[in-house]
Amino acid sequence: MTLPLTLISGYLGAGKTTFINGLLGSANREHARIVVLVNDFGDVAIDAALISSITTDMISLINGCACCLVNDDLERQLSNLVEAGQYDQVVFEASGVADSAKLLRQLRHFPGLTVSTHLTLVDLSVIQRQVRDKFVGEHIQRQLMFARDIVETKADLLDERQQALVRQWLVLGYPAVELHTMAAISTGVVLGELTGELTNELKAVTEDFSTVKATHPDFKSYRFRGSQRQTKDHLMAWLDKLPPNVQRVKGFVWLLDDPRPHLLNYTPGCASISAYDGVLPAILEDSVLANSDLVAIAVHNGGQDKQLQQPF
Amino acid sequence: MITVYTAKNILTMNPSWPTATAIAVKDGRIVEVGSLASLQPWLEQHPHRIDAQFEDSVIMPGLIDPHLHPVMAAVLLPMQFITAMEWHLPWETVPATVSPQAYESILRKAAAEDDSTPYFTWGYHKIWHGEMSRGLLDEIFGSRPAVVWQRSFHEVYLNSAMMALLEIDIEAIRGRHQIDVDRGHFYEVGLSYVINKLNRIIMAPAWILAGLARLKQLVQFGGHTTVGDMAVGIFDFEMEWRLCQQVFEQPDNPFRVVSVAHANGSGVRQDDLATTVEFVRNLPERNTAHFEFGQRIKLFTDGAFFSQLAMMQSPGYIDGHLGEWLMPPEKFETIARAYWHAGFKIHVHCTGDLGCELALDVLEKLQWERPRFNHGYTIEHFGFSTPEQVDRIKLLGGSVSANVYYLRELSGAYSQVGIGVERASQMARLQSCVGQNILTTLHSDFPMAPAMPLHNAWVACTRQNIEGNVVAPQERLSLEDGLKAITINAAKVLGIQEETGSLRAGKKADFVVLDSDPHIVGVDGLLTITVLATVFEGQVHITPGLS
Ligand SMILES: [Zn+2]
Ligand SMILES: [Zn+2]
Repeated sequence: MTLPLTLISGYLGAGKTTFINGLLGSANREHARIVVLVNDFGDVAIDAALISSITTDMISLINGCACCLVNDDLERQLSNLVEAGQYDQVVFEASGVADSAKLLRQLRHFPGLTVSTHLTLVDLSVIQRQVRDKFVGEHIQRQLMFARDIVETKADLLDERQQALVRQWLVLGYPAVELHTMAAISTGVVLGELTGELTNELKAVTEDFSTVKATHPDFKSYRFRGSQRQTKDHLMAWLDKLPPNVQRVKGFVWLLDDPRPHLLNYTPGCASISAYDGVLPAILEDSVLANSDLVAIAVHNGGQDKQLQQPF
Repeated sequence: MITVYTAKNILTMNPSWPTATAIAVKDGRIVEVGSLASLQPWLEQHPHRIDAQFEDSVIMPGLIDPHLHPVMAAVLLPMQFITAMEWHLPWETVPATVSPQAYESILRKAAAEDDSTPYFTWGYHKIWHGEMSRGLLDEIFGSRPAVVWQRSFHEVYLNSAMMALLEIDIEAIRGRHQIDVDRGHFYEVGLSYVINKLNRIIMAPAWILAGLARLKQLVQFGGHTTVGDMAVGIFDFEMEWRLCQQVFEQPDNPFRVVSVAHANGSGVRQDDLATTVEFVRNLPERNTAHFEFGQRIKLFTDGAFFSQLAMMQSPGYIDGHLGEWLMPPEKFETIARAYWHAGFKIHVHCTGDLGCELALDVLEKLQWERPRFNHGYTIEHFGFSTPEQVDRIKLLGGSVSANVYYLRELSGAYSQVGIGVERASQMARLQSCVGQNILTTLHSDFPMAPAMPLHNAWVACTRQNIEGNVVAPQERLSLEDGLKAITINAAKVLGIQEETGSLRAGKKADFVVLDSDPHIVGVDGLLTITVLATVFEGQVHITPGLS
């Protein structure tokens, strides 16, 4: 039995604490024993009334030493949690500037722990400004790059047209992510089930492509998954033949003639497939399974959709 | 009773009365600096004795390192040093060990000792010392647990006996990120795992007390009479405070410790920010004679310089990696604001030029909200910066406390693997600061760099790196500014300039006694000057190991 961990990423103000408070509020009714790890600086914002309940606990991490690694509180707290065995679920609120890739690397290989869900919260009303911020812009961009499931928050601060524009921008810039609304994501999903679903879907590659993002009227997105290695030439030829309404293709692929995973990136007139040595989503990192995963975004124009062939 | 110390020369670091040959001390304080003749009005009316033991030597104000970490140092100091560079320690001079054969033979010698307690060594580096592995350590140490700690602190090697002692389940951790169990190698994230196991040895009170006792000797050896503990709470505030009190608050201790709490330290941080500020504000109530807190706080912007986690402005690192913020910039601002409005002096750890930019942007906002003079906002480390940032430090009234040793050890390496020659050469842009009359001091951040202020001043005045190159010679300090940086300016940065840092009537009698005069041996001679003794509040402490 491994201890499932839900990782909540997102910058300051994205609503991570509110989200977790909501999660705890509904989870308590199900009597799961949940422990929340928080990387807070200054004020502790998790709702004390929720924490003090018998089924929920909170540990606030201290990031002690800036100059060396002699004091790593996260590591210490996690081993305590795994050894103690008194919880059913860990919810980890990452610091707003945490490097998701690095965190996932540390968490995924932690004995006795499974990263069951990784959600990245994004404040729709400010995200476009945040990614250009002088101090944290690049960090937020990387959080989005390593996100798989994004939960949008604070959409109500924008009118509908603005919301649509921001969503378009997110989907085009980061086509590998799934976009969820706060309302659509249930406690059960966050605490475990979401991953189960995705895992099955990925392993049983039954469909050539599926339309997964029906929520955006102007754009359609296609997800291509396969576990068959291809040559680079084959994939380049496939990209070459894409219809002009496809704006963006991005994702990870495994090649026949190369042991390393590759990042595929396409915008009209510009395609690249290059070796990738960063962190892969868990489901893609096994070179034996060689799962490939591509997302294509196209402007919605009815009939032409059928011209999209499968790459694998 | 007045004691008069005579010397060949006394450098007072008081610009209005720069040199002298005799100094009169009563009850631990200076009553007058001058010559035996000029001291007569005092000596005629008070009982006195002349102490001529330093008459062939040179006296300067006791040296000050305004930023080191005693408890972190205490973790390291009980280990055997085997290093590629020579280290001068009070209990031994560690020779440079630059071949795998020499390294191995030192290990074998240690293993031959009749000792079964865990063996720890620090300073290993593959470039010099060859491959390391659990197998090799097993062969050398047999059943004695052994740990080899890499020079940068970010890697360790354990032998099988050590793994058994720590109850490490080899199969359970096989394949974990940055752990190679077969080689006994734990690094970066993997190190975090093993550190938590090792902590019961290296954080045990007996280990820390032994380390602090060594630190005490080392601080004296460097010629210090004051050091700053620039982040109490790195491990655990109350534990650090208690152990440091126990070791440093002794009648024979040769230096005082000025402590600054870590704003997010364990045991410092309370339930909310307002309560934390109140907690820190009351710390001076705990002050004892040689161990004191002031209205100061330590904050952090960006990541470790040694790990290339400094936050850099465009064009960033050559390989495209990003640095790290130690806390979200808005949180930094919130915490800085709380302490600024409460009247604190804020010390900000900044390593990269973007880290420095954040510290200065926040300072500018705070000055707009509530203008303050003499506010003591200090850029600590000051690794990378731009000339324009130096202008802003001046305009906003900031100070600089630099770790100039980065330049010595890393300017060459970071030119090649890091950020390129132009920017790496300009780390520790110190002459620009001094030229603008910015209060500028030097620190060691020990154990990050050797706690030898005269050597640090040499680096600041020569800018010569370990490859032997002089980098950005325009930024070299003059000898005089180098000496100010390790005496009076360091005192000002810690807010104790009325008590120490120069030699004048009324200040504490804190001296360092040198075998030669910096003004005669010049900048190059700073490296070879010997600290013969220190005098702390009038008490003479002969440097250990000198006959
Ligand atoms: Zn620091
Ligand atoms: Zn430091």
